[in-house]
Amino acid sequence: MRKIFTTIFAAALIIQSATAWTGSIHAGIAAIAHDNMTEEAKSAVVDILGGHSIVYAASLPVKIADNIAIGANGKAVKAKKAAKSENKVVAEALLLQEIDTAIATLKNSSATKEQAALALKALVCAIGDLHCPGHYVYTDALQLRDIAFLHTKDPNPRSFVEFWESAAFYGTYSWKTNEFVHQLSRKTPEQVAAITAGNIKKWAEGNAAAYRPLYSMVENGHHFEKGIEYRLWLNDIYPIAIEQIAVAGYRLAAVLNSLF
Amino acid sequence: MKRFLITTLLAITSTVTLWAWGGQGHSTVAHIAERYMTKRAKSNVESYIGGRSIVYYASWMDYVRQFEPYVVTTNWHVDYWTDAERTDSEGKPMPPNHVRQINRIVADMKDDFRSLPDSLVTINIKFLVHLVGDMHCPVHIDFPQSRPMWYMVNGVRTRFHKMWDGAVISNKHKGCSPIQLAEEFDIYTDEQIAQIQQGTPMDWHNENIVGARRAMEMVPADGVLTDEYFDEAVVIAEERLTYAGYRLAAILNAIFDK
Repeated sequence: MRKIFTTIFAAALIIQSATAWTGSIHAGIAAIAHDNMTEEAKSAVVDILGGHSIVYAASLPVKIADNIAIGANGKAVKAKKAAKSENKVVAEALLLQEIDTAIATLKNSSATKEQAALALKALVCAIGDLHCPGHYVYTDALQLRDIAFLHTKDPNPRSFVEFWESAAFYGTYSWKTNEFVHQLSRKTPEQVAAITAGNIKKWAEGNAAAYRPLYSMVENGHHFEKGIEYRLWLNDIYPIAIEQIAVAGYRLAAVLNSLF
Repeated sequence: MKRFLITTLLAITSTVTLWAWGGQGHSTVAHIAERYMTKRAKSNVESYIGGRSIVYYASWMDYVRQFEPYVVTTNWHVDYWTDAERTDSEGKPMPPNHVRQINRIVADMKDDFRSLPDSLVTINIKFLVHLVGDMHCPVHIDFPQSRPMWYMVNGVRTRFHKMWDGAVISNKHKGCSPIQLAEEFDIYTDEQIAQIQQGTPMDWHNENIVGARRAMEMVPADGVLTDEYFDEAVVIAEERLTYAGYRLAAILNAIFDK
């Protein structure tokens, strides 16, 4: 019975978060990556995608499991370990598994073009999601994920996850793909080196620590009754969203450059 | 009773937040300016805004105007039109709000921007990037008779100012990014651009009055705005945005190409 409950709950978490950043933000992340990829990496991507760039891959629908579970110690955890050590029902660190699988496929010289293309699409989506605060499930505070609030322009409550997928950014800017590059692909080499240092798991754990306080920035059920109140809140949020989008782009480029 | 209602309506409408061109228009102005900034001016400007493009801050004034310490800037965006001559405390003619602020900032920075505190230069850049756009927006000359006006736009009751904020451009250029719009609007020859960049902010304001009056006059009597209105309005808007971009470049080059 408990096993069934665990499965259902984990599935529910996955479904709840399946939309991630909006497609246009994923495309923006991919465009930043493209702007920072080596010619060799670009060429390899074009070969895998039948003449298309990584931005094209970002615009294609791909189904991935996009949660990342973070234990009380701030580390990414797997379901079995978390269930055993914390006696809680949690989703696995599925997002990290998706990334590992995609990278393994892209490294596998016997993988078919179709398999490689699918892996590439999953990787683009997953690296983006890795930098979206809404995709982190804190196993010692699962309710944080369910925070819902109202604001003046939208009469329906929206979850914190939904907010981060779109309004955190689009509440302020309405950039198209090339705008992301113009605005965000302008870090210095030193900044890029600092952003891309470490590895994917370290990035996830760093993000997990950084994102946790964001969930305290609004109370469950809070209603922004006036536009001015919502604007003040957005003014604190949008620079964070923008920086995460930029960082995701540089890191995606780093992963692809190291692969190809 | 009627008088009371009109007074109340005017009071309500005059306190409505006025949001300039909207993000698409302001970003387009800044993109056009970037195309005409010198390499040195661009580099100097970006060094004061964290390496970002001026486009990033094109609408920033609109996001902060309601909050301290920027509440004081709320009225900087608009010329609240009056038929009487505006004078300062010494009886001298006084330019409208946005022109006065642009003149002040240029006067502060034109000789040696490096002698000023970095934070002051930074905020002045953010102000200039926005205000030069605002002063070219026809509805930023806020004629009293336009304040209570509502129109039907695509079946939606829309305030005159809000319509010009976004609908005039977005109705005709839906889906175009500001980078694309900048490319499309930047169609003038070098000689024409040099001519457009001549004059002072006050001259440019006087020129904008023509477009502002036209924007009001061409509204049909029934208040229902048709495609014909937008066909004519978008021509005015495109010119205003483009001129603003060229002139913003001229101002920033004059200050920062040193």
